[in-house]
Amino acid sequence: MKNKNIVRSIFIGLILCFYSFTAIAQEITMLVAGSKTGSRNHSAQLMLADSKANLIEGFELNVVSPGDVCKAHELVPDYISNTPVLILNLSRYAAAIEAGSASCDLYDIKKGYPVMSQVILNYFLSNTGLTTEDMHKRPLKIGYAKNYQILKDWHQQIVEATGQPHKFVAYKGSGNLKKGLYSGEIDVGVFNQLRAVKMIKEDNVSVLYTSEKTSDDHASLTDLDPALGRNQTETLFLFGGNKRMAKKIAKRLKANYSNANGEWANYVLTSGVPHYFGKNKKADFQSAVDSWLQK
Amino acid sequence: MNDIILVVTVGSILGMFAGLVPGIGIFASLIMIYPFLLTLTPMETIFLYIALACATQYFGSVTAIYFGVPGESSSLPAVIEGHALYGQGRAHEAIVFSSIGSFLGSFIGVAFFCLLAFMLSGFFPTSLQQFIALAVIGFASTILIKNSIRAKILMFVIPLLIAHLGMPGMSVIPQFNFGFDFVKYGIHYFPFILGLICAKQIMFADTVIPSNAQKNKANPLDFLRYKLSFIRGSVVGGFGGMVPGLTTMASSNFSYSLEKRMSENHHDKSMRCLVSAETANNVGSITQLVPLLLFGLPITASETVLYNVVQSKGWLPGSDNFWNVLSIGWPVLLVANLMMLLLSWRYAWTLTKVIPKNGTMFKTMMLVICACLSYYVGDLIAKEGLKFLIIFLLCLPFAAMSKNTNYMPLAFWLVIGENLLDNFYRLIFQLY
Repeated sequence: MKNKNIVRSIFIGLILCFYSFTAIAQEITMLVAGSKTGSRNHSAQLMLADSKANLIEGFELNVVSPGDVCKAHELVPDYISNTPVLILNLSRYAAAIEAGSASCDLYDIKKGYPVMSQVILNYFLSNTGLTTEDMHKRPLKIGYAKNYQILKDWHQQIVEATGQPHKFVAYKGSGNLKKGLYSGEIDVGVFNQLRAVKMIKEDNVSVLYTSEKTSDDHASLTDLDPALGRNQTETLFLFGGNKRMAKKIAKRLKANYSNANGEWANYVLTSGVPHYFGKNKKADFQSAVDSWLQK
Repeated sequence: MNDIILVVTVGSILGMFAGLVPGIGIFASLIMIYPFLLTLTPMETIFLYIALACATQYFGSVTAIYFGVPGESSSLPAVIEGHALYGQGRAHEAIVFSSIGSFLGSFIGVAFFCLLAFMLSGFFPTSLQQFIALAVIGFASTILIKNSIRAKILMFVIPLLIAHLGMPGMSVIPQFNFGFDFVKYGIHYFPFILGLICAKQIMFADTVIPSNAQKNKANPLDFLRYKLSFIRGSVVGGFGGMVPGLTTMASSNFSYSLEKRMSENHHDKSMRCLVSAETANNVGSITQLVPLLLFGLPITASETVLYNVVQSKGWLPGSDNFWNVLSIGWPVLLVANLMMLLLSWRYAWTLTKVIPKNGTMFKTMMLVICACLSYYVGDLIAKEGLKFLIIFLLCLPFAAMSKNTNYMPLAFWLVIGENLLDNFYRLIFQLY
């Protein structure tokens, strides 16, 4: 009788432990490696809204936005001691490190588990009806969200390929870049696909070039010179966690994306960005890095 | 919608406290809940601010009328005229009429805002326009706010030097970190404004001397007698709210001066002035948001903090955003204003019980909370708790030694400095 009670207590105890572990959501810090007005911060805030709405079930997201790529990466070790850390990292940064043009040491992404990738192209957009030909006819003011030195080589190549001394103007974040384009202080803005597709649909902006071929027949820089093409990937890395956790988060995000039941899913779906959850993430990221390193 | 109701409730309660307790104004209360702001969405943050700003105007006048102490900086006309009415045994009448004025004024403010949003729809300022506007706003508030010439110059120069520290490495802007690790990514504004403004406001807050309650005897319909004062207050408040650095203070003081002149020989001059000033400061508390929500141009120190917080959550200014804010929030704001009207009408005297009796103990407690807050916020946003605490503690002696210095312009330049420099260097090096 006594043994029966002990077994029953252990059984109930185990069930309670199980439920207490599953009921308490795992806290994760998402460090935004980008500007406060940029699209990475925007994505992070949308994921945060989904986390609050319990759409990334089992994980409680906490977003920290220091407003700077270098600082975000520098903070990784500090946060890892308390919570696992998620960072949406751009292949362009990895390429900059390999090319030796990064302005700071980023946290080694090889230590992280990739969760999800999205391929993002760059779109050259105009708010005043400029066309592809205009890029070849006269020098334009082209705005971009400022980043690493590696962009400068690309800009120089574009100037040479179009035969016009275009002026490249740096903005702090794609939000400010959008304001710059709409205020008329620049002729063209280079936006990533997440912002561009939405702007084309909603604001009737024209596309001068895309950085790679797209299905909707826009002129691509690769038509001018294959070496101008840039395939860019954003990969969500998990640091300080384990592979199982990375898989679980990927599964939750994928479910959100497939059912379009969250702010983040709605945003990326309407922006038309393809997402990769699964085995080919690392390969995609590496091929994107290689694409940025091409000369 | 539930989240909006929650934040408006929190903002209203906080605003009530900020209005009633001398020394805790909009700015200080916003800073005190900074960690909470970081957990909200941009829309929720904006609603919390509107509720806070409106509630402060309602209850700031309660402390002013009953005790002759300004609960908020814009309550000065209420101290002069409202407390005089208290002396005549008309305190409740004064509170009810200023609350009705505040209630109606809030909606006049929203209407004013809608009109401007409609007229200015689709306008985006260029870097040059934004730079000039920010510089003009900054200089206007530095000049308009009463300080010595030396203080005025230092309050502009020091923050811009601080904003230069550790500018991002990948930008075109030169770096100024002088090899020091602690300024590698710049210095955050939070511990400075917590130490120099909030702590100073707490240290030098007026003490409330207890007075007696008066029986309720106001007839709300009598408010109609002051309809012209109300209209004048609405118009002056609408424009006064957009005066950089002064906003609600300009609204209430301008309308007070105008009303005083217009009611020179009127037998009920005090009530007319009070109604006009209290209407104006509520209209102003809404219209002060026009430059911020439409163009991203904060015009007060508290708005710069609000802008900084919502911007870090991916929010962008523009009229589309404004219509979103309004379409979701107007019923909540209506109910919140109605609640505040009823509370100040029926329970104004009871609510004054929240004003701490032991001033020294309250001040000490608040300063300890500020110290803990500086560490907590530093740790939360950049794992720099100790750095934030040290800066906060270093600011305290300056705050204690400068009773007559108003540090609001310093806060403005500190928070806006990075944006201003970003525009400036883009203009200098790239656009032209």
